[in-house]
Amino acid sequence: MDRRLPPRPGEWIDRGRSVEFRFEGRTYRGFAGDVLASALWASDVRLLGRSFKYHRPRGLYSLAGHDANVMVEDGRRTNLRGDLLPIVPGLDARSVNTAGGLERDRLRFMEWFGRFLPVGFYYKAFHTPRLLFPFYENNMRKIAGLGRINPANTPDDSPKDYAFCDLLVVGAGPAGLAAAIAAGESGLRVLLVDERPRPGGSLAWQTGDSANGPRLEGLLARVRACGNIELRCGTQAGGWYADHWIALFDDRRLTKLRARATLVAAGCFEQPAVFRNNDLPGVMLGSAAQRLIHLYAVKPFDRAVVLAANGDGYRVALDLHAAGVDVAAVADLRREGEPTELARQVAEAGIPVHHGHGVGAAIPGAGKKRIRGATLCPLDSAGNPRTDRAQRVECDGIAMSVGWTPNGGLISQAGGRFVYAENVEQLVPSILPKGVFAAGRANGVFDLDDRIADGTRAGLAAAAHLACTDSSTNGTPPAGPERIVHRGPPPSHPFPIFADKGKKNFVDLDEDLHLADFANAHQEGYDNVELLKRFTTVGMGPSQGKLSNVNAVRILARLNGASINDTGTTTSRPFHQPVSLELLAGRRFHPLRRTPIDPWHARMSAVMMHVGDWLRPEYYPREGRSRDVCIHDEAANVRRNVGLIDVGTLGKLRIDGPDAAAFLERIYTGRFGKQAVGSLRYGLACDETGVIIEDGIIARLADDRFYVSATTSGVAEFFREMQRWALIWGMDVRLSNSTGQLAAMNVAGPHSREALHELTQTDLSPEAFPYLGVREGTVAGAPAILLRVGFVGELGYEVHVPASYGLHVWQSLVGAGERFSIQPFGVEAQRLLRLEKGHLIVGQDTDALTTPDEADVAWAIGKGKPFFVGMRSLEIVRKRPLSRRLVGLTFANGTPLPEECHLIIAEGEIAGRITSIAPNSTLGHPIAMAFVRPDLAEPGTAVRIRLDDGTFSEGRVAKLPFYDPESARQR
Amino acid sequence: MTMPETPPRRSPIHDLLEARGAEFRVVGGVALAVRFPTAENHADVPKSVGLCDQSGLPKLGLKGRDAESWLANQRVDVPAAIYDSRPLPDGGVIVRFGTDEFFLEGGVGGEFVPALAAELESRSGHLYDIHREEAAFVLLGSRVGEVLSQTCALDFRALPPRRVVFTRVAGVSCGIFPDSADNVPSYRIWVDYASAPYLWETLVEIVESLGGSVVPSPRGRV
Repeated sequence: MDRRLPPRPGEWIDRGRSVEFRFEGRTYRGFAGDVLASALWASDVRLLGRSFKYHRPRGLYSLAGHDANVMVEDGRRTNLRGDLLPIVPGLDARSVNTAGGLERDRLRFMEWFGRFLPVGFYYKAFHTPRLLFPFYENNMRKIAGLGRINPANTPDDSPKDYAFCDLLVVGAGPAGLAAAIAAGESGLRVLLVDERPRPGGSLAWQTGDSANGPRLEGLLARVRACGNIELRCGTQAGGWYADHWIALFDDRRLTKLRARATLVAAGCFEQPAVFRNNDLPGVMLGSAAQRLIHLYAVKPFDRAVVLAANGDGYRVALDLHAAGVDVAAVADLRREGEPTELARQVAEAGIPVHHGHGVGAAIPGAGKKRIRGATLCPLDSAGNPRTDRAQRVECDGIAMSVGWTPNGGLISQAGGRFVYAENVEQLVPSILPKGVFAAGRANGVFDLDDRIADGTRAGLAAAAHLACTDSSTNGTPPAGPERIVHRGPPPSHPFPIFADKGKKNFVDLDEDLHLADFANAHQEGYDNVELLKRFTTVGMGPSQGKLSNVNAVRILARLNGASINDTGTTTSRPFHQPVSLELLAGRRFHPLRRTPIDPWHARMSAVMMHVGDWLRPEYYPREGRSRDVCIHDEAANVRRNVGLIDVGTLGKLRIDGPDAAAFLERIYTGRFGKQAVGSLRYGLACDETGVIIEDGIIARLADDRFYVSATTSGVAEFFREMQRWALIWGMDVRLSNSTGQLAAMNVAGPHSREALHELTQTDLSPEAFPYLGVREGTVAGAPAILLRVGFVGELGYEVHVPASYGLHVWQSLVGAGERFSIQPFGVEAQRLLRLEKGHLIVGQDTDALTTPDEADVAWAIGKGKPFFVGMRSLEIVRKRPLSRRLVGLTFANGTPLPEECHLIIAEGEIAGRITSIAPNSTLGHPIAMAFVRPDLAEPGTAVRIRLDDGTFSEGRVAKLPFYDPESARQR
Repeated sequence: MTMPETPPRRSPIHDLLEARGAEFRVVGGVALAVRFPTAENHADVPKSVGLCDQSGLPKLGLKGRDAESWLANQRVDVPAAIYDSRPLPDGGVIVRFGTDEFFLEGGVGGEFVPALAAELESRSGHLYDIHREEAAFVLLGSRVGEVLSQTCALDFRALPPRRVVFTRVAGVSCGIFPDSADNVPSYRIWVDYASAPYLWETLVEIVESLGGSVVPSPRGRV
C-alpha cells in the first residue's frame, strides 16, 4: 500500500529521483529526500525496530532523531537512526538488536518475562557468584544491546576543521532566523546552524498555515541578503565548552567552532503521554505525524485519534484531516478544551472532541505490530482515567500533542539554569551565562509572531553584548526590549501520565522503563533525580532522555510530593545528540621530522626508529645478517675503516652578540670567556637544582659568535630555557635555533680524514685542525662548519651544512669514502661506540635527579666561577655524601645479561641500576654503564643484577672509558 | 683533488615531487618543479586549491641591533612593525620577526637576496646572519580557506593583510604569510626543513580531498 500523498508545497522529497533501497532483506522505493523511516512508512511498513530490553515492536515515534528503537546498520556503519538516515540508492539496512530479523526476532518473548525483570534487577541478580559474571555480562550484552561494530570497516579519515564567528545561532526556525538577521544586520559575523537538512524549523511542518511558506521564504531571503550570515544545515551543535568553543557535527566532519557569543533558538522537543501500549507502532507524537505529512508527503494513518492538551494537538487534527485521514476523535486532557479559533475549525471539520478525556490504552493488533484501536476514558478530578467508562474507538494511529520541553542542552552545558514556569508548564531559562542568549520556544515563547519578535530581541541583545565587549565601556549592555511572556493556556500538560496495571505504559522507550519502574525505584530510596536516573537508567539511552526526562521528573516530583523546581533536573553534558566515533576520531596529525638524508636512508632500506619526533636510521640491514650482527659490523667498521652517520637531529644553536661568552658561562657549568676562536669545548648544563639537563659542544666561530651542538631530544626545551634566561638577565645576545635548517653528519674512523680530504679545501692536518677544533669552509661545494669531535672514540669530523645541500654532501662523502670502505652506521652502532668510549647520554645515563658528581662529569665545572645555573644548589648538594656514582661494568661472555633499568642488588637492598648495556661490543665482551652505591664504585668490585626471572647476573665494575683510555685514536 | 662546484639546492620534498613525475629546472641555484604530468600545468590558478613548493628560494636571516640600519643602507624598504612585511625588488619579501630580527626571501630567480648575503661578508658592528632553510609552500585558490581550517586553529579572516603569523599547521610550527594577488586567495607557509615532508604529505592529502592538486612553481611570486 502506498501512503504517499499528492505533491505539496514545501515538501522535502524530490519526486523526480526515485530511490531503491532494502530493509530487512526486502526491496522498497522512496524518493531522494526521504529518511528511512518516512520511506518505509510510505510503503506502509509500521514495524521499524525492536525495543532495547523486551524486544517489543516499535515504529516511527518522533521523526526528529530521537527514535532510539529505530536503529539500523548498513553493513558498514551501525546504530544509524532510521528517523534521520537519508535513503540512498543501494542502501541495505537491517534493524539492530534482533535475533533472526525484525519480524521473527527470537527474543520477542523476553516481554513475557517482564514481570521478573524489574528495574535494577541485574544489579541484584547478577553479581554472584563472581565466576559467572563474565557469562552474565557477555549474554546480557547480546540480548539487550545496540548494533555491532564491523571491524572490517575502515572508513576514510573524516576531516576536522576550525571555524570562527561572532555569534553562533543554533536553530534555523523562525526565532533563529530572526535572531540571525538581527545580529547579521547589526554587523556581526553570524553562523546559523540547524540539524535538519533544510532551514525553517517548525515553520516547515507545524503551523499548517499556507502563509507560512512565503513567510519562511521572506526570512531566508533576508538571511541570504546579509553577506555576513553563514547558514549550515544538517549541522548539530553537539557540545558547548568554555569560552564558547562549540563542537559542530555534520554528516562528514567535526567542526571546532570558536564563537564570541551563542544564541540558542533550537525550539522544543515534543513530549509523549504515558498510557498503556503507548509505545506500539502507530502511536506517535503529533509533530511526527505533521512531519510525515508536510516534509515527506506521507499519510500517517487511515483513521486516527488525537490526544491533545494544547492548540498544537488541534492543528495536528486539522492537518490529519486535510491529508485525508479520518480523525475519529480528539481526546483533550483539559476539561475546558481549546479556547482559540482552532477549536471552531476542528468542529467545522466534523471531528468529535472529548474534553477532559485521555487515552486509556492503545489496542494492539496481531503481533502488536500495529494498533487497531484506542480506548478513550474520561478523567476524574485527580486526572486519572476512568477505565470503567472507557469508550473504544477503532483507529490505526494515535497522535499525541500534550506538551513540550526546551531543547536547551547547550544552555545547560554553558552553565545556564532553568526554572519550571507554570504559565507554560515547562522549563525555561532563568539564568543565562554571559554571552549566551535564548530565543523562541526554547525560551518559553510559543506564538509564531512572538517567536520571531523574541528572536529579533535576542539577536539585538547579542549584538549589543558584543559591541560592549569590543568597546572600552564597562561591559554592561544597554537595556533591550523586555523578554516576551507567553499568553494563553500552557502549551504543556502538567502530568500527562496514566497508570496501567499491566506495566505497559512506557516512560522511556530507549530503556524500556514503564511507570511502575519509577515507583519501585522510589520505594527503594532513590528519591533524588540524579540517583533515580542512575538506578533506573532513565535518560541514559541513545536519545539521552529527550522524550523521557521531563516525564520522569514529573513522576518523581509527584512521588516526593514536591514541586518540579524542588525536584530538579539531571545534568546535560556533551554530546547533546549521538555522534559517530568516526567523526570524533577524524583525521589525526602525527608530525614527524626527517633529516635531509632521509631519501638516501630509504633507498638503503634502513630500519628507522623514532627518536623524539625524529625518524632516524636504527641500523642498515644486510642480507642474511641479524640485527645485532649488522649493528656490530657497523661499529667495527668505524673502528677499522671509516663510518658515516646522519646526526642531523642534533640541536644546532647560534649564540651571538657582545655578551655571548658571558651568557654561555652562566648557562653552562664550564668556562668560555677565554675559549679560543676556532676551538670547541664540552658544555654541561644544569637546572636550578643542580641536575644535569643538557650536554653538548660549544664552538667559538668569532669573538661574539658561538655555535652549539646540543642533544637531539633536549634541544627544544633547552633553547626555551636559554631564551628565558636571556630575558631575565637582560644580556646582549641573539639566540637562534637552526636545528632543522642544517644537515649534519659525522664521518668517523681511522680513514675519516682521507675521505673528507677529497671534498674540502680546509686543511685537515692535525696541526692545522686539531682535535676539538672548528673550521668554517666548504665540503663538496657547500658551505660547511667542520667540528673535530670524538663522540665515538675515533678520529672524526662532524660536518654541518645547509639542509638543502645535505643529501649532496652525504652522497659525496659516501663516494669519496668508497675506497676507504666507508659504510653508514645507525643510532644503535653509535650508542655502542660511545658506550665503549664511556660517553654518557643525558636522559639515558642520567635521570631527573642526576648531578655532575654522580655522573662523574664534575670535571666539566669551571673552577672559581662566580655563577652558573644550578651552582648554588650544587654547593649545597656537595656538602652531603654521594649516594650513587655512574660506573662501567663488564661481563664475562656467556653470562646471562641484564637489560637497561635492571636493578643492582647488594645485601638484599637496591644498590643501583643499569643505564646502558651492549651485549655485543667490539671489545669482545659485554659492557654496561650503571649507577651504583659509592662503596661499590671501585673498579674490580663484583655486583649482582637481578634479572626479570628473579635470577642474578654478575658484572664487575670497570674504569671508564672501556676503549682507548688515552684518547689517542681521536686526536 | 678536484673541488666540486656549488651544487643546486634541493627542496626537502624533492623526492616526493619527483615521484609525481615533476620536471625540474634549476633557477637561481634551486631545482624547481616546473611541470607535472597533470592538467593543472596549464592553469595559472586552480579553481579549487593548489599546492606549490617554493622551497629553496634564497633566504637570509639577520639579527642584531645594527640589522635595521644595515638593511636601510642597502636600500631595503624595512617594515616598521613586528610581523609586518614589505616586498623586495626581485619579487621577494622581507618580514620583521622582532625588534632587531629580519627574514628575507627572494623571488624565483631573483638575485637581490644573494647579493645582500654577499654584501654581508664585509659587515661590521652588531649584525649577525642566521642561516634560514625553511621550506616554503604556497596554498592558493578559492578553497584555500578550507585547507587552512582543517589544519590550523586560527581565524585568518580576522588577520590584517600581508602580515606574518606564527601558528601550528597540522601540528607543526609554521609561519604563514597571506600573499594574495589578483583576487586569488593565497598563503605562503614557511616550515622547518625537517618537518616539510610530513607537512607536504598532509597538505596534499587534504588538498586532493577538496579536488585540488599539486601545481608547479609559478614564474614569480604568486
